[in-house]
Amino acid sequence: MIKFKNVSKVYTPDSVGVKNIYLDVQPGEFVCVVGASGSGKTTLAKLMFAEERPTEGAIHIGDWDITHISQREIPELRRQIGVVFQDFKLLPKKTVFENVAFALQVAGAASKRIRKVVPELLDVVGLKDKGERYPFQLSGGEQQRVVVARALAHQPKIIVADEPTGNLDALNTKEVIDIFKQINEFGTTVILVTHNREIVNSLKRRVVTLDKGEIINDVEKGRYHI
Amino acid sequence: MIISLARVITFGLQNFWRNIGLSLTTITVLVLTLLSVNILFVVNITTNRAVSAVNDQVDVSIYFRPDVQLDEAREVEAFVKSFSDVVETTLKAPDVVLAEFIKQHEREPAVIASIKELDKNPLPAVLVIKSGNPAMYRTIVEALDVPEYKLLIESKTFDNHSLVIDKINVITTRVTYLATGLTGVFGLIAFLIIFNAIRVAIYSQREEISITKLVGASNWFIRGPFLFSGLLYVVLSFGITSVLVYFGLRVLDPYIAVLFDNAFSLQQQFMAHALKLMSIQFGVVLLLVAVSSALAMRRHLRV
Ligand SMILES: Nc1ncnc2c1ncn2[C@@H]1O[C@H](COP(=O)(O)OP(=O)(O)OP(=O)(O)O)[C@@H](O)[C@H]1O
Ligand SMILES: [Mg+2]
Repeated sequence: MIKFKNVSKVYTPDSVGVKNIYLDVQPGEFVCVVGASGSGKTTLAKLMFAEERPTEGAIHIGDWDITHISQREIPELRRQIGVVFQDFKLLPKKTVFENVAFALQVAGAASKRIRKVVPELLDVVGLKDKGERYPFQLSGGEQQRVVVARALAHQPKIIVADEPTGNLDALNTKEVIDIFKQINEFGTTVILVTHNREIVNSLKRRVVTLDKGEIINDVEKGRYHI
Repeated sequence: MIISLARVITFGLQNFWRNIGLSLTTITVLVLTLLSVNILFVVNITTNRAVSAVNDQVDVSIYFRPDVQLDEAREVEAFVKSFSDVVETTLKAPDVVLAEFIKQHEREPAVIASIKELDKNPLPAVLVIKSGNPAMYRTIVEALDVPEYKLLIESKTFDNHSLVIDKINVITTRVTYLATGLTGVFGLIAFLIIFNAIRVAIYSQREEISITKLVGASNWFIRGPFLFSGLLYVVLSFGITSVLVYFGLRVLDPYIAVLFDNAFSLQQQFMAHALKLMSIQFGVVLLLVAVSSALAMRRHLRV
């Protein structure tokens, strides 16, 4: 599903994002990416949805070689990968419903489909009755769940989440992670970048550990250890 | 495609409405720019009118010696006509000049009586010269100073007008410089302010734009709403200015009319050139918005 072949990302000669990455993620896998600050986790995630281009190596998503993807093709890629970030990236002047609908609107979906799909998505993240609220009227955990619902709008094969629980307390963190588990059970591949030891240990899934841009550990049913 | 276009328009309207403060500021600046362009039009039209009004009143009269034959006078007329910028020449034979003189002094029987007492018409032939360009009078008069013509000519009235003509020349060139300079300054200020306003608009929506890209929007979907709200700025500021100018002229007209003896209406002048003035203004504001948003987008909408 996701294949990195000897990928390196060098920002400037003295600032290396990742180097010599070999990574092969199977469809339906749930992969935790851990590592110290500056070890290249965000860089790895951004390479997957073409926010950054590799300086070396090749990246495949499914059977699509995105190593040299053109600007015109990026929207198509973004509709196949749902992205969730640490800072809540919701449009502040749109309601919850509109925020989720937005992802479908930009892709040219019919209004009828949007009216049907958005409530379903909000139901998945447990926010069915808060569609008319604006982001500032929601708690941090609720906001992040809206972001997750939006990431799911295109029914992506892959979800890439970069510290999605970074700003959340334990209870909200559990709720968001539970949603990811649920999505994964339905067959979506999940890449979860996190600092949170408890999440990693309780998930008991594959763990990829980065250090100074390199993969130093990659184990099935791993535990958090640095 | 149609649904996408509808959404681009909807998002453009939402942009406009939900950032209403910024939208109003931008439109205000555009209206001010257009108003200053209109002020330039008014200045241009009135000075042109003033200059031509004075020009109309200025002419040069050449008085021939009494013994000059009409044929010789015609020769001088032909010579004067050969100058460019000479709009009109009128050669008045002595009896025409006399008739005019009598008509002018109708109510002064003493003058009429003394004229009639003379057995010969004492008045010479007169050549009246009108030029579109006051600067030409001096050239013409100097050209007539050759011995060949000097013998035929008794006097010229040019000397009486030369001061006025020189003044008009000075004023005309100064007003032209001033108007051109003002146009440049207004244009530059407008460009800077609008460029800044649009930069701020894009900057304040940076987050929004990056989100739009992340959820898989195509490039034209990102640019579209900006283009549409830009178009909205153009149309609204243009409309508001037109209304303001229309009523402004109605208020101004009576005051302007006082300055000129004949009926002169700014409003009519504007209406007469409406198509030209409006397309200039529409072009100005469209160009300003297009250029400044294109520049701002290139810098901030790295799509
Ligand atoms: N745009 C950039 N330009 C230059 N260097 C960068 C850029 N982005 C990241 N880096 C560098 O690349 C390295 C990896 O950064 P990255 O953001 O991937 O780390 P991270 O593991 O996500 O860290 P954190 O846990 O703090 O989020 C760091 O040394 C960082 O300074
Ligand atoms: Mg990071």
